[in-house]
Amino acid sequence: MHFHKAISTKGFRYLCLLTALANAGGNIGLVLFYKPIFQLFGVPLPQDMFSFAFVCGFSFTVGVLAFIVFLAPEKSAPLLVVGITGKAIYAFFTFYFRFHSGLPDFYMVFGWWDAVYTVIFFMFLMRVVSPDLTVLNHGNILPGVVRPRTKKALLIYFSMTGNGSRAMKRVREGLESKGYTVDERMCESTEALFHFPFSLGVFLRIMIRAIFRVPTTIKPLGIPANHAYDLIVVESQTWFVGMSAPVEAAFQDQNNRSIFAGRDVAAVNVCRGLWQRPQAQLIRWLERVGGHVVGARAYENPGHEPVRCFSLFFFLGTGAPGRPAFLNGILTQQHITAEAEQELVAFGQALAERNTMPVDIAFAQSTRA
Amino acid sequence: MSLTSLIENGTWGPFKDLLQLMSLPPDRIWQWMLFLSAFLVLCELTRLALGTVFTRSVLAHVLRCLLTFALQAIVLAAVLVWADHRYPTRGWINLGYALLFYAIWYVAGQLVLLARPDTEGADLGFMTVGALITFPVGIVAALI
Repeated sequence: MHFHKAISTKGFRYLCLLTALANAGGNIGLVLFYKPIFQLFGVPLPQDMFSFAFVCGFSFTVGVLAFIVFLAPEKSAPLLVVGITGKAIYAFFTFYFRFHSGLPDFYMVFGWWDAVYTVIFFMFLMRVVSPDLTVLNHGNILPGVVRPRTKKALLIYFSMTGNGSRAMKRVREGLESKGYTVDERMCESTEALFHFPFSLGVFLRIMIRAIFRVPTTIKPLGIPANHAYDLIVVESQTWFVGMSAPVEAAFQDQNNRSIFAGRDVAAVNVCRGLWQRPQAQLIRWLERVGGHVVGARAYENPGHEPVRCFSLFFFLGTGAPGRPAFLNGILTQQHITAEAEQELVAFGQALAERNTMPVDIAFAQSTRA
Repeated sequence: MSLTSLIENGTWGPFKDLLQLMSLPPDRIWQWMLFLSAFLVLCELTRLALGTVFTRSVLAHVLRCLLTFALQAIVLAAVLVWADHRYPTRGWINLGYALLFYAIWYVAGQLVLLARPDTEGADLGFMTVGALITFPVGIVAALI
């Protein structure tokens, strides 16, 4: 997974405060002093005072909205969506009437301001949503639930091309090195569709089903609700920007949900490059079925784009890596790197040695649940 | 008021303007540059914003799939064909602009890395797949 230095939340908050002051304060000033201001900049006075006051009022409202975001960004994702919409529309119409009707240059200041803030709000939105995933992606192993440690772990996964099973083998290695006994369950679809190598027709069917999230069913996992595992690790790969259907089917089957309830769970994702949404889908499923997510890892296959992407297409098309042979020196490998595998061993070890959450926090969580 | 008069008296001006603008008229370069750049930036930011939310929504998932490359690539291809139809001598120049739009698309995706430390950024792989839609169509349009 990538981890980059980013603008701090504080930085985004102050950018929100800036536009809050500009929108709310500026529009009060504009309504009160529009005559001298317009004269100063040589701008024709508004012909329709109602529309002028209305737009000032709308812009003032967005300023209030930005101030609320400044005060409580973590609770303000919906407000940011409204802010994005409002500022994008304002910017669009400013540019439209500039080019269409010769709106004076003066107004372009507001158009550009709102265009830039559309992007800033978008970025801040991405920053504030799902902060728990960022914590997990930092590499943290969170404290587990308060329940006896049986030192038994269950790995649930599906692997069509071998990349997933390769990753889980390393997690198993890490867990076992720290004294865990590990069992595995493969999500075996009841449909013959999900196999590899496949024909173009099968590939297209899998692709369309993945895009439209058409579910499948899997054979029973055979794990009773009162099982002895204190940790469950689930792996999924990326199929057209989402988690794979057989793994999702494990959660969609009501009979399997009790397997995860009240247990420590962890997520592993392997893919060509788009890991973020499948990871979010997997973690949200784990939470939805009552699991307590203690860790997550996501890994991309190595190589630079666009060669990596086309290597995947060749791999899926030919059914084997390194084909066609004349491209062998260019095509990238279709499994995670040795470094990633070592990290997964360490991940398994860290999961095995995870702490237990303090009793007061555990009590508060169980009360909320 | 009848339905016919309602439709006839509707305001279609902005849509007609937009259609005209998408023919990439040489005297309005800044205008269509801004519009198409904004379109690509918004598409990419929306795609990335959908990365961690609405995880069970089919609509959100289909939208994210479309925004991965297909929508942008097809729109740019359609714009190139339409522009070549209206201004046949500018086909090759417009291909250069299309390349610039792809660069803007890429920068928009990478910009998100400044906002969220754990994100994918631009997907150059699928963007290249998109380019394989846009540019062959644009080249054929320029040749014909």
